[in-house]
Amino acid sequence: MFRRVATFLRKRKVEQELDDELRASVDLLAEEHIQKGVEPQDAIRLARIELGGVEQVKEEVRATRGLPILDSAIRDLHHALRNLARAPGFSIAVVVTLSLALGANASVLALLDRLILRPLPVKEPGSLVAVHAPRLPERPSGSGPIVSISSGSGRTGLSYPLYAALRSRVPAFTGMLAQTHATATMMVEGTPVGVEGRLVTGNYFELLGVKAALGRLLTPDDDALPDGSPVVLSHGLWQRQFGGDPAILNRTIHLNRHPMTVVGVAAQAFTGTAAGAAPDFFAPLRLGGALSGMPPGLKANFRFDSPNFHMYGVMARLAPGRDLKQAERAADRVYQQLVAAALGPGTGASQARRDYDKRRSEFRLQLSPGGYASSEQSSLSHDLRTPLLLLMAMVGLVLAIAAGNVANLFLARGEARSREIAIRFALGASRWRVLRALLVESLLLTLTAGGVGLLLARWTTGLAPVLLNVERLPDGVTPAPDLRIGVAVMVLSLAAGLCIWAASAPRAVGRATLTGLAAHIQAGARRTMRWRRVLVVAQAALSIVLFCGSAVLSRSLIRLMSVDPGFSVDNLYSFWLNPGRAGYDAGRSNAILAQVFEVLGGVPGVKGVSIATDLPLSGRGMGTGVNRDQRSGEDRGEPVDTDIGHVSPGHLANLGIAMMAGREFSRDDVRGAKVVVINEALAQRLFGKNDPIGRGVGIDGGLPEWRVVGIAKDVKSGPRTPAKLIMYQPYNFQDPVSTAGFALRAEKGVHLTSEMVRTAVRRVETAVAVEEFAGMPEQAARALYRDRMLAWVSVSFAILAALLCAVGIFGLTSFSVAKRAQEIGIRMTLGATRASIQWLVMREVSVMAAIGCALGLAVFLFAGRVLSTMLFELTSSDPASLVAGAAVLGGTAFLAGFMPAYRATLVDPARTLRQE
Amino acid sequence: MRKAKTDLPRGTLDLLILKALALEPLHGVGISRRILQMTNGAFQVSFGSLFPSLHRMEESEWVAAEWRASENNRRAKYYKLTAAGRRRAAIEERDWNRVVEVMTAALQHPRITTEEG
Repeated sequence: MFRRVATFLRKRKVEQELDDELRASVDLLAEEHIQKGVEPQDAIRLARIELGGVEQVKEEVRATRGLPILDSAIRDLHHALRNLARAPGFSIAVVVTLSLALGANASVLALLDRLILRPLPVKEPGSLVAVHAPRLPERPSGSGPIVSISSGSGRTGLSYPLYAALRSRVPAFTGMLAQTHATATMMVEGTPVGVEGRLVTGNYFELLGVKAALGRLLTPDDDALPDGSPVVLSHGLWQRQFGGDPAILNRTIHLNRHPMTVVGVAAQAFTGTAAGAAPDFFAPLRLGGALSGMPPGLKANFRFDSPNFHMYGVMARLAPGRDLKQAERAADRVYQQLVAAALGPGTGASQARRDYDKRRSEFRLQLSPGGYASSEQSSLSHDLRTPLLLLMAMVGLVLAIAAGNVANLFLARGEARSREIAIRFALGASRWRVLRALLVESLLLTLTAGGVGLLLARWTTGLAPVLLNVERLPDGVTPAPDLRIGVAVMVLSLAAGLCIWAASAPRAVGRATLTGLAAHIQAGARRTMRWRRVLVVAQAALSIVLFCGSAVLSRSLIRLMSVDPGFSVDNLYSFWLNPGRAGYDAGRSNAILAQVFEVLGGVPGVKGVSIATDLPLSGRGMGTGVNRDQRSGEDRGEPVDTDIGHVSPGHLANLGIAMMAGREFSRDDVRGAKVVVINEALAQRLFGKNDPIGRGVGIDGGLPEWRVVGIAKDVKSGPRTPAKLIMYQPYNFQDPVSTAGFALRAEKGVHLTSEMVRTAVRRVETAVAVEEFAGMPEQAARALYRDRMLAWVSVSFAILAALLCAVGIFGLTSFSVAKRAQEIGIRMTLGATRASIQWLVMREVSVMAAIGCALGLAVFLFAGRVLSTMLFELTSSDPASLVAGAAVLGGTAFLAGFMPAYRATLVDPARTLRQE
Repeated sequence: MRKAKTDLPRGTLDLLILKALALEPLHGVGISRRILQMTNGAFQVSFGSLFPSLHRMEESEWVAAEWRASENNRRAKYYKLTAAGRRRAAIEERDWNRVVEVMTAALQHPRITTEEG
């Protein structure tokens, strides 16, 4: 082995020696011939024949000597580099085409990975599970239904007592943590900043195996202590708000006016247990009350361990050797015992029992893998899962089309090189040797393209927030490729290179023949032409899948945008205020809201101001049960789950919500008048065909003392969601409200900015943060961001595919026209018209496009069904979209084929015939 | 021109080369001529097989090479057996003899004929 390595290293010298040795051998053999009386020139020739070709012998020797594989790989690489450098146009075309496709793949893959696939940056993510269990049946209480049973989805939060019971009684878990969201206003140098955090059990960091970047993390001791308000900051918040200053340790920060001591900063890589929802801070569960924005009176009553708060996300670590199903069975047994205990000693006949028995199957504890970015489904990863998978499929198609083009280029180049290849065969190169040389060239180009694609993906990282319609991507979510994605993309490039090689090389090379160069070259041309047509047809088929997909997604978007939201969106702005978070009681809060209301009304350009606790598209709102009053022949009916919105007088008019009957609140209603306005959906639900005006409704099981004075048009929070049931109550600046939404209607042409609003609010109060200021058109657009993104991205991919496809058709057709120049010349001499010559060329294009179209449509009809969940009032086999896709393909093919067809008519018959 | 190809059992060529070199150092063409002589013209070794074998044996240090003048004063690469090469030759020869014995015995076995009835 040592000698072999030595031979490899002394390669040049060894080569030289071999060359000398073979030359000497030829001379020796020639001398023998001369001695037999042969002429010197002939003697050399005979000697060479006898030796069997100097190059072949060298090749044989090389194959046995040194490290033949490495040796020949390096030689192939040299050879490939030289060849590619000799054809810079070809090399650049290939790298550009593929790097665009691979770059798009890298970006989408990176997003998909970070939002869904990637394991969390925690210790042993494989043994983490998320625990889901429906809330336990509640014991009969004074009012309301006898047993409250949550919806059976099993994905609601757990209450603290349930968590604690499971933690102490399931041996299949080595640990369990509980956490919940918390939003807070943090004061930084007098400026309120909205932050998102997690309230967690003390074992949170220990169980996840997260390290501190600075100071310490929370420990179980933090749960045990009755007081002290430790908080751990995320690395992201520490950098953003405190400039990464280590002096942050032991400093006091105020969250919702509650003083907290910073004890540490979590490791940079750790961005919580849900992708796209990176917390800014971590605090113990027991501080939930103190940190909440509730008025002080309510805060005192808050107990984080109340059995009535079903709000904790629970994760557990499986004991070593336990699998998920096993642990699920063990935990479910414990859960069933708890359910039985909650139902009380079973008489078998109680209402509770019967209710429970009816829905028994819903009461199951479930575990799901918890160690992945998408396990604790954040809204972002939940929303984007399907779109990202679809995008991945689209970029995959684009890559396939691009690869088809490149394979076609390789075939064209193989044809141009058929002479060189034939000569190499004649010199004794084996077929495998020639194929291997082409493989090296193809891999060299695709891997380069992969590298360039990764760079492109990194440079275009800034486009992602625009596409996803967010101001700033959440910590830990980025389309910038990292090592993991880099490796994946390089593997993808490698695969693309192999496919391109497999699709082009064997046909470009053909078989080593002894029939001479000319015959070999001609056979090569015939052989590759047919295969190149097949490739173009495949490209057309893949392209039309993208065309149809983007057409149907765009049509769906247009339909979504034309849905009437039920209110007037233009020139409307909204924001939220929560004075309670700044520590004010209900009375002071209402006073602040009233003052802000006054001040805003005086801002130039503002036509109308109103306040509501429930604004369209905001996703906020409180729900409660509403009953109708009793009339002859009717009972009070089941309570209907309804959203309650407290609105100031004139709010509905300000929003442009039409009154279908009755009237809106007036200033006369505000002083304690028990009047309500209900929307159409609720009117229909409560009263059916009867006239609701003047009827009474009861709230939360109370007396039907609220009189319906008007019916408002339904407001949709999104085109896909059915109208919510809403009941409006007058807001009179007296009832305690936690968060108030302001709706501002600007004069036409006036653009309100968040700065204008902040200035106005600051004139009243400086400690209250203006939250979520946004124009309503933008909010309406945001509700459609997925659809918009899918439509835009798919259209851009479709354009890319059209370009690639056009290049493929153009290249092949031009080539074919050049090949058939003589035939065309003869036809023209025999009197063919220009039109018939053009048709001759276009017919070929049409046939390829038609076959591709038919294949592609068939594929789309089958595979397009994956789009269906993304479509609005359309199916993926929407005829208009199919026609549009086919038309785009037809147009592309026509444009791509027209130039070569036109050029065919310029063929000079005299010249081509002379060449014959 | 070729009387027989060298599609001999693997190792046969090596043995012939080692044998050819046993008397005196030779260059590549000389080895080819010597083998022709030794086999009474039965084997014309192609150079495409000879040189790879020689180079492999040189790497295994069974033979050593040096450049010197040939009989007609041309520079040529001469190969000579090393001590390891001599041992190797002995082993190969013994193995070959065993193969021949076994094969001969097998082919002369009375119950098996190569002709089909």
